Amino acid sequence: MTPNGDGERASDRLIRFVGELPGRVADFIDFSLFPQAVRDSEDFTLLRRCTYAGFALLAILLVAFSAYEHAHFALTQDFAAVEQVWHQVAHGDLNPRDTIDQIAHYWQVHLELYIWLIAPLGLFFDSALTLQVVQDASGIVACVIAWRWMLTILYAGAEPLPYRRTLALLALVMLVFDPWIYWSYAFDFHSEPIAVSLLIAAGYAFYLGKTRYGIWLSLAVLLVGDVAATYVAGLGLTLIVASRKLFKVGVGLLVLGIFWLEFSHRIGAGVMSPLRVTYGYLIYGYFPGFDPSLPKLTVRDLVIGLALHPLNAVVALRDKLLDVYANLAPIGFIGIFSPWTIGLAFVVIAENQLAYSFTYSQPNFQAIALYAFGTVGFAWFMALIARSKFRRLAVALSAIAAVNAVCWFAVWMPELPPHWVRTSSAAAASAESAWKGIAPGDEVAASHGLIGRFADRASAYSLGWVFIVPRESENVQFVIAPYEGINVESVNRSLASLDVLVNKYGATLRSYQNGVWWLTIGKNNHDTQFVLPEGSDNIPAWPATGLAGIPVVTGPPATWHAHGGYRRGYVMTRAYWRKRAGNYVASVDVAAQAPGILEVWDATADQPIVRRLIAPGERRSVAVAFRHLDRGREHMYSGLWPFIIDAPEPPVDDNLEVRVYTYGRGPIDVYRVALKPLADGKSKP
Amino acid sequence: MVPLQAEAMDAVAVDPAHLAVLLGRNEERAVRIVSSRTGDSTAEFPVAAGAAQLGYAGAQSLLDSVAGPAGVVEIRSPAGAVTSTVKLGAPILALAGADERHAFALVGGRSPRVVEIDLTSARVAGAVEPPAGTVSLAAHASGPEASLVAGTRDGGIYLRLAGAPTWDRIAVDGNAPVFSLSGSAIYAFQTVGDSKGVAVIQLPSQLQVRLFPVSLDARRMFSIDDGTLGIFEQSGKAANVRLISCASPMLAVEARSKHSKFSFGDGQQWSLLGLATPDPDETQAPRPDSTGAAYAGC
Repeated sequence: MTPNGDGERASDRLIRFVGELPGRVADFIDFSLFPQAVRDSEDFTLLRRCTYAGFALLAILLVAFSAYEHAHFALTQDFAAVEQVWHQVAHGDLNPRDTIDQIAHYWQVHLELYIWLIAPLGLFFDSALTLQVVQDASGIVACVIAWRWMLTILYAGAEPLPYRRTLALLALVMLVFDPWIYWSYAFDFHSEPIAVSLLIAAGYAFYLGKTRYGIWLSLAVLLVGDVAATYVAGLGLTLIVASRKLFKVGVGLLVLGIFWLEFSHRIGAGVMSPLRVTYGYLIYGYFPGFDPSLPKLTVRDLVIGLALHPLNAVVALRDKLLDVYANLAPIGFIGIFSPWTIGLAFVVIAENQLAYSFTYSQPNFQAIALYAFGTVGFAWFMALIARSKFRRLAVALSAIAAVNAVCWFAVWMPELPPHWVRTSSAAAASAESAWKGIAPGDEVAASHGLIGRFADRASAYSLGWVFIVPRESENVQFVIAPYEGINVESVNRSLASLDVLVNKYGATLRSYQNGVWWLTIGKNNHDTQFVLPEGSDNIPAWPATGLAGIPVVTGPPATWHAHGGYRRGYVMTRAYWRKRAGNYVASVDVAAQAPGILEVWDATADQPIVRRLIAPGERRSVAVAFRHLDRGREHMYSGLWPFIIDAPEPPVDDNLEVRVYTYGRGPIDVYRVALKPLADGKSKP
Repeated sequence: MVPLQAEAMDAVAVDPAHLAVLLGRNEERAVRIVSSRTGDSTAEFPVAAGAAQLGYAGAQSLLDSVAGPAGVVEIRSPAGAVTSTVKLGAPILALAGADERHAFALVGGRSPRVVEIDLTSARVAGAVEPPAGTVSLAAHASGPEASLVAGTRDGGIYLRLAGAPTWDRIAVDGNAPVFSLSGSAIYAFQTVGDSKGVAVIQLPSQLQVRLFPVSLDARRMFSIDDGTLGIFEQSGKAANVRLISCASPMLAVEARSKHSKFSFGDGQQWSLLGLATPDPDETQAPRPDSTGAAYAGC
């Protein structure tokens, strides 16, 4: 070691640096969280403690829930698409496909170029959890900037703002206890949260007068894709309203946002956000879907169409009024009208609430910009009121808003795990076991509810939407969990797919535990694609065993069955069909040495419809006819009044369920179960 | 639930507000008229010692059958006075009132038959042969004629619609079937294993639409003028009548028209992109009362 010019040894400098490191980190954190005016104020100590506590809670909840989802394989299609491209880019495929959404090149999805920038992380942390943590980190950054912005507003001016410390603490409560922030980050992985962290940084930079930073950050937002481009346009509108000085910049951003949206769609990106599908109904008066005969809609078409048919938008907004309320309530409503929020809020509310989907209108990742900017806007209004003669009103309103946010938090946070994680620990362990047993080069097709963790490869397909799985590797792995996870495919489709895989394509059953079925199609099979059914009126019983049954899956697949013995209970259960009202006949292919009961239930209404005795006998079909009334409707949790949302409508048709019960007096084997409509005029099977 | 005395042997509706209960005390028989809301007695009168069953005959009359080879049906006023009697000449196995003008009796003996009684003239108006093994009978008035439903010893249910020349066995099995007031359903007991339920069988499809559980002590069902279903339960130590409103989802026999909150496209559902719910498993299924009100059973 040699001394430097000042006589200090390098080792001493290192020791000094390490010793000072905690202090430097703390200084950096303080600098990030608190403007100079706060750090200079006498409120700093208290605010610092509360801020650290609040953000620790925020960070712990976000990251812990991500880890919980990760451990439970509770990551679905949207996560899978990003996980696949992130993984592929990190491993050298710079123009990867999106097999999850079945799009030839991922850049076409939303032109989300930032993925290429974060992909190198995958070289060092090759776990899906990394992606979740990146999303959480962006959320924490967005909240930190929102908080700093609020403090900047409240601690601005030569004259101290009355009650500024109280207002700041109440604003912190609103920010940390907004349940929709956690709700948004719990839903797979999406680009909006990434965009908002940059967007609010841009907004804050403009607020501080650092226009160049603001512009650079706004340009960075464009890298997040076509949806983020609309946020840039919204920020432009905000600047037009907020500051005469920034008027030209605002116009520029507005034009830039629209241009980028249009540009991305014209070059073939935006495949997953076609204006015609999402907003076409506002012009045509009906949902056009993916009707190829209709022309592609541009932003211009949309604006003109809305101008010519304004009532359509009014009617749509009327349908979604409750969700507008639910989105805005935890942030205190009025914040969206502040000059630093209004333009962006208008764009976000319009594009979410006018979309042909309740998913976008409900509190969700699509509205994360509202939650961040809206809280800042609320603080802006409070500062305005506190400077007036009604200064106590600011405290009162803030207190009400903070209590309101805590109530929303109390009502909705307990729903977070059951809403987003529907995979049991045991099923997750089985899925993990399958995941570990699958080679990186293998193709995987998995249930929608599990696909997220299985998408770390070039070929991954979600059984939620894919009906023909192309063969892209020698070994094709199927992981199907009919009753686990958030599956958009029906249970019936999952059971029918299992049936086709083993009986038609000769798939080898690798494992079946805790409701997770892992099958492999290897080199002995020469099919180039696997056609999976949308559903079937005749499905195998072995994947639908009840608590008193076990699957017997040895020998030829045609002989596989659900076996019941000397245990009383259901041998087979949860064989579901979602059917319109009408006359049907349910039947089971069964062999019994002891009596059993064939039952049909309206599972939605939790009501038995009909029971029929299964007499002991050789293998044969036992049938029962019934009339399905389709009267029930699942309850969807919508909160406790007044902390309510407009919950998604449950499926229109009731779920019919066929079960086989045994008294446990002897063997009973159920091979297949079927449900078919009765021909008109017939009342007997 | 209307609590009755433990000696109750049978019960039938008089009108929507009152039930007639046949009481058996040793060799004595009496009929007590009770409120169907509170179970309080409003009248009581003695009947023949051999009285075995009550029958509906509108709000102004009451029927009772007297056991014995003579097969006597007594027509009474609600106050208990016998207004007329009809002798059928064979033991009565079941008595079924259709309305204030018609009643039917299943009589045994060498040639079992279903006898139609004209209550206005107190005369036998006709007879048909019942299905083999018939042990229960119920009637539903529809215009000048009545439809009949018979339950057999082996659990078969036979239907003879008004004007039809023959009995038709329906695909559903059950015991002691009765018509709903509207005639749009048949209710029948079904015992599967160690559980007993009421099967709701829709007409005219003759298909079962529901099975709801009842006590193993349930003996008889009857419809009340407001569409309510009465189920008489007798355990030996206690008796009661369970009343199920016609508005109960348990009695509904028609599909409910469901509306989407979406105003566009003839009420198409809003799409549920990315948030579709999975099929519910047994733990997620809602309780039965979530089906809401329905009035098709009336």
